[in-house]
Order: sequence, then structure tokens, then C-alpha cells
Amino acid sequence: MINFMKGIRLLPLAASFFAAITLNAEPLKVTVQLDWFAEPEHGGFYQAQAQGYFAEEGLDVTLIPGGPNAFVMPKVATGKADIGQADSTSTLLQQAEGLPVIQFAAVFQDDPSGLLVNANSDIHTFADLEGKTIVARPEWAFLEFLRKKLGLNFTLVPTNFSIEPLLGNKEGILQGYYIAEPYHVVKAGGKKPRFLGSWEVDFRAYAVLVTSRRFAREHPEELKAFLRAYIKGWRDYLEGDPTGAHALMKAAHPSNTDEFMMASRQLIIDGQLVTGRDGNGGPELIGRLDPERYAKQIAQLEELNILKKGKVTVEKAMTTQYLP
Amino acid sequence: MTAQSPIVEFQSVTKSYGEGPLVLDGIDLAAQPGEFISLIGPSGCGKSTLLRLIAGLSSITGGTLKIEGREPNQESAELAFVFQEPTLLPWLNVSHNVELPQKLRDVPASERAANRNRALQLVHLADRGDAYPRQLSGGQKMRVSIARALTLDPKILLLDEPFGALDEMTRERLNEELLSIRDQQSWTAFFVTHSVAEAVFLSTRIIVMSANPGKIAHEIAVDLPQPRTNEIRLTRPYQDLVAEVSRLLRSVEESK
Amino acid sequence: MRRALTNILLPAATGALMIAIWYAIRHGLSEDFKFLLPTPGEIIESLDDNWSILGRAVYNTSQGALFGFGLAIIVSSLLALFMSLSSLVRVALYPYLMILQMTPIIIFAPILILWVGPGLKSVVIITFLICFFPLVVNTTQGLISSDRNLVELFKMYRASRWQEIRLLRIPSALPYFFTGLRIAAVLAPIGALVGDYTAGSSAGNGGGLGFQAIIYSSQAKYPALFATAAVTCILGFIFVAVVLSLSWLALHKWHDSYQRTDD
Repeated sequence: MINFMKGIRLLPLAASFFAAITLNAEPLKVTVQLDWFAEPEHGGFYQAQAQGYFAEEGLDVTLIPGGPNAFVMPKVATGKADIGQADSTSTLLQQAEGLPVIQFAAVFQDDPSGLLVNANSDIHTFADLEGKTIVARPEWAFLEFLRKKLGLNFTLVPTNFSIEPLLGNKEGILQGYYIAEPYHVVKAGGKKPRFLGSWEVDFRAYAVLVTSRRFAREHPEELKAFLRAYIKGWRDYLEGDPTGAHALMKAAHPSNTDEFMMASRQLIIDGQLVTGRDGNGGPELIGRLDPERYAKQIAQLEELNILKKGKVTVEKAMTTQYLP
Repeated sequence: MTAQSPIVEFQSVTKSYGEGPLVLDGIDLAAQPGEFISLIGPSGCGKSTLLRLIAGLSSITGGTLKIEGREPNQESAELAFVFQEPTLLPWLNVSHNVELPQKLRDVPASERAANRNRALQLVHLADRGDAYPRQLSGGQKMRVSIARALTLDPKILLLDEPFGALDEMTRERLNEELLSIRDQQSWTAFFVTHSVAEAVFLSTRIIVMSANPGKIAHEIAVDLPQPRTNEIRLTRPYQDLVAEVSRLLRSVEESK
Repeated sequence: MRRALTNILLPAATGALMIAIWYAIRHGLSEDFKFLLPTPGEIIESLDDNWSILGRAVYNTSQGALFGFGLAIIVSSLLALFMSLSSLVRVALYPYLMILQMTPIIIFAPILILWVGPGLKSVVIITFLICFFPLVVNTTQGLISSDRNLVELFKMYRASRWQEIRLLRIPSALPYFFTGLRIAAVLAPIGALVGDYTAGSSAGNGGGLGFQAIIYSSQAKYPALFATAAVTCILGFIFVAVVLSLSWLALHKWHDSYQRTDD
């Protein structure tokens, strides 16, 4: 009887031992391909990294900065990266082309890609773009939306990612991220440009995290763990002290100044990009995807013939199953 | 032969290239119209240079050279040069190649055609007018070159080892053809060759030159009968002359 | 007759085999990865679907290539002539032209676009630059390499300088010119594409094939991307074929490069 009691005391020890060797045997290596240079838009990742949240969840995460040619989608689709950051619209279009990826978490509740316009210009609404020259990524789906939905005609010049079109040239119109380019323009001596956001014409896209179907199939638990850490990272980055994240961002992209990073982060906070601009926004919304918004966007794109009908469904495009 | 004024006259002519050594030294030579003069000698004796001086492709360093009593290059006697290689323009057919000298003189097309056809007849190539040089044999190309040389009715014909690259048979046949053309025209010829047999067959006079510097060593008159055919090569007088000239040539070469 | 039959049947059989292998590989790919290799059928279909865009792109790229190519021929010929006449100019310029011929001109594309701006102009200039150097170097070489004996022949007949150029130097330079032309013909479409890649804009008529390739690539429209590549190949092929024909026309009667094998 004494032996039996001794044995029972050993049970929790044995259990955690087994748990240790099966669950936490070896942290899973996860590569994340970022869509641009390391910047506050990646605050969730870098804070989670700096604070050790990923490690706590048993994940060994490598953040790969991107740039003008980040090739996020092909890399994730072919498995060369496990997770990527992208915008929901272009992801939908590429999913329609057969790319085996799935959108599983939000980065921003509203994609901050829009059109930046010289402060001295007379362009105040999208309708004013008629006949003008826009410098943007040619494949930006929003342009097609503008052409078709608003019936606009404009000339497109491919961007070389410099803010030059906004300096000096009164007529300059540039695709930009509302939390980055305006800062650079002011820093370069220009006046703060006006921003035309896509949400102003009811084009609501997310900035999302995507992964390949195979990775999702093979590592569902790790994806959940990842999101736990990621969301915690965002919350900490926005509400707490971002020094850790900023140090990593600077290391990854030396041209980041503290001033820029703080300013950009502030814009994210003020714009409620991560927590949601709608009335129901808040920290609980971090990372959440709304299937209804997806249904609406798919319908929008199909109606304008930007997306071929039936090629993508909400179920095929996104999932909320990994969100906590 | 009645004394006429020489058509080509060298008087104490010397030639050197720049600061270099003398290539020709003290050349005295007077050629009468209608002569066929062969120049023979070891390499470096300046025989080709002599030809080029007459042609005006080179100028003398010292002495005087008169072509028909005038300086060379002064629109005087019509000269024609047949080079060692046929030097045909590969992108023109035979007819146009033969017409080239006339074209350069702006002779009208119809006249050119007549002259050209006559020249081609002389070399027995009238039927190959449309052929391109690369379709012809070495001997044929050389005949075209000769036909070209003849189209402007030259008074002086300069030939620099024209048959050197051909085989013995073709060579002898072309020698004969050259002489038969001469019968139908009247030019004075200067002919450079390494072949004593050829020199004796063709010439009225043979000049043997020595080298370093180039000088005229011997002059031999060739008074074999005219017209000459290849049969003459089997006759005694011909063979004696060949032996004589060969001996002189050897002596010149040995004393180098 | 049998030889002609073999000449057609054998390549056709190889082609059929390659297409069969293509389908086999495609079949072997898992569903997730089928997007990596569109079938020939899908490519042709997307060619049909996108023809309005691709057709315009072909037109734009051809325009850029032709103008740049044509300009290069004219300017290089004139400069080559000039250099063949003046040894001073030749000695001064020739080494640099040779060096530039060996440099990947493509690296200058972004700089050019900075100076000239995107659009047809810069595409033409880039194509011009990429074609110019082989043309000028080869043509100059041809003009100064006339057979010495022929030059003497012309001197003998007291030909004028102009006669010498017209009747001797230019014809004898033709084989060299065509060598340069063949090289340039291969490079011209590449130049136009690169110019497009780096600078094409949709200003005016839209970009060219290079520009379209980028767009399709970033949109993951891979069948269209493959179709663009196929169209580009055909364009390049036509370019070269035309030049080869011209080369044949000018040279086949007399130049060694067109010897009949049974001669």
C-alpha cells in the first residue's frame, strides 16, 4: 500500500515528463516572410520576438524582412516560407489562380494602402483622379476597382518606391502606406501629403497573415500557438513599451530611426488599424477576421469582373480556426 | 628595230623605304615599246618594287624615272597591273569584275559591256560572265584578272608572278594564252617571275637582278622566233637559253 | 524526298515527346502545386483571353525594338564610316567602343530612366545602346579590313576616295556588318524587354511584354506569364529570322559563310 501511494505521487512527474518529450521536445522552426522592410507594421512580430512570447509557445521564429520585391506569396505557396504577410485582396486574386494558401489572421483590420497626394494639389476625392497620373504598383487590385467601380481613367506609372513624386511636383500621386510615406515626405522637407484611403470608397481590405495549406494541415497546433504569441505581441507593442521591438527592427533595417518608428506606431494607434476602426473595435479584435467582410469583398470583386466568379469562396479563402 | 624613245626609262634610280636600307641601287633600264621584259632574281632583289615604281604605287628615292617621257602618276600612259593573287572583288561576278576599271573611269555602260566581252573572249571565258569568283578555279580567276587588266587598252602591262600559284600545266597553257593575246594587242610588259622557263618563253629580254641592294646583274636578249607556242620548249635554242639564264641566276644567288 | 521527310518527322516526334513529358510532369504535381506548371492548353487559353493586352504589349515591345534597332544601324554605320576614314578618330574612340561592347549595357537602364523618364523613349534608347556597340565595332572592322591588294588595285586605277568607299570598302564590309547585325538582332528584343522591365509604363498605349510579365508574375497569373514568355520568344525569333534572311540575300552568292556543302 505504501508503494502504491509513493507511485501515485510520481504520476504528475511522469506525466509532465511525457508531456515534455512529446510536446516540447524541440521548438518548431517557423519562417515568416515579411512584405516590406522591418517597420512598425510588423510590430506584433517583433515585440513577440523581443519579449520571448514565441519561445514561450515553443516556436523558433525567424522573421525575414522583405522589400520592393518580397515575393511573399510564391515563397509561402511553395513552402519556402511558412507564414507571410500580405493584403487580403491580392491574396484573394492569387488564391483564385490556384495558389494553395489560406488567410488565417488579420494584421490590420484595414489595409493602410492608399493614395498619397501632394498637399498643394487640388485632389480631394477619388473622383478628382480622373485623367491624372498615378505612381503605383501596376498590379494593385484597388486601381482596377477604381477604374471599374468609379469609372475613372488615369495613367499608371510603375512605382520605384521612392517618395520623389510627392516632393515638389504638385500633381504627384503616389501609392503609399499611410503609416510610413507621409513621415518620410515631411522629413524630406515636403508638406504632409493628403491620404485617400481605400476604405473611403467602401473597399475594405485587411492586411493579413497567410500560410500554405500544407503547413496548416501539418501544424495546426503550432499555428494556434503562433497566433497566441502574435496577438500578445501586438497588444504589448501598442499598449506597452515598444523598445524591444524597435531595437530588433532597427537591427533588421538600419535606416529606421527611433523618431520614425515612434511616429509610425503612433499612427497605427491613432488610426486604430490593428484594433479596428469600426465601433466594435478594441484589443479583442486583434487578429480577427470577419467572414462577412470577406463575403462582401468577394462579391464586390466578382461583380466588377476583377475576380472570376466561383473561383474563390469564403471557406476556401480564410479561416478563423487558429484564432484563440 | 628602229630607235624609238623608251616607253619606260630608269636612270640611276635608287629606292629605300624611310630610313631603311637601299632596296634598289643605281637602276638603269630603258624599255622600248613592245618589249616583253622579265625580271628574275633571288628574294629581296627588289623586282616587285621595280614594278610598283612603274605603277606609281611607290615613289623613287633618287634618280629619275620617266613613263613616256613624263613623271609617273601624271595621267600618262595607261597602266595595268596583274597581281600575284587574282584580286577579284568577290561580291561581283566575272563580268562586273572585268568592267571595274572602266567603271572607275566612268565609261558608259554599253561601252563597258563591249570592252568587257572582248576582253573575256581573249581569255576564253566569255561564257562565264555570270559566275562568281568563288566558283572559278585558280587558273580561271587569273585569266579574269588578266582580262580586267586589258579592258582599258593599257600601254604598259605589269605582271607580278601572276602564275606562281598554279600548277605546271595550267601555267604553261596560260603562258601561251598571254602571248597569243599579245599578238592581238600591243603593250609593253614587265613580268616578275621565279621561273626561268617561263621567263625565257615569254620575254624579249630577261633582266637578272642581284639582292642586297637590288641591282641589275645581267641582261639577256631572247631572240627566239615569234609567235611562240609551247612546242618551242622542246627546241634546242630554248633549252640552251634556259640553261644560260639558270647559270646566271645561280651565280647571282651564290654571291649573295 | 526521304531526307526531307526525316528532317520534318524527327523534330516533330521530339516535340511531341517533350509535350508528353510536360503533361506527365504536370500530372505528377500535387493539386497544391499545379500552379507551378500550366499545361500548354491553359497557356493557349490564357493567350486567347489576354490577347487584347498582350497584343498591345507585343506592338509596344516591337516598336521599341525596331526603332532602337533601326536607329542603331543608322548611327553605327555613319560612325563606322567616319572612323574608317579618319585614323585619328578611330584610335581615339575605338577602344572605348570595344569596352562598351563587352559591358552589360543593361546596368545603365535605371540611370537612363532617371534621365529620360519611363516610356517608349527610354526603351528605344536602351535598345539602341545594346545594339549599337556590336554594330559599330564590327562594321568599322569591316571597313578597315579591305583586302590590301584590292586597295592597291583601286589606287592603281586612280580611283577617287568616294569610289573606293562605295565600290570597295562598303561591299567588303558587308559580311562584318551582317555579323554585327545578327548579334544586334538577338539583342534588340532583349534590350526592349529590359527597358520595359525597368521602365515601362502604361502611359500612352500601355507597357510592353516585359512590363506585362512583371504584372502577371505579381498577380500570380502564371498561365498568362508563360504565354507572355512564349510570345516574346516568337517575337525574338522573327527578328532574328528576318535579319538572317537579309544576310542570306546579301551574301549567299559570294561569301564563304554560305558555301554549299557539296561544292
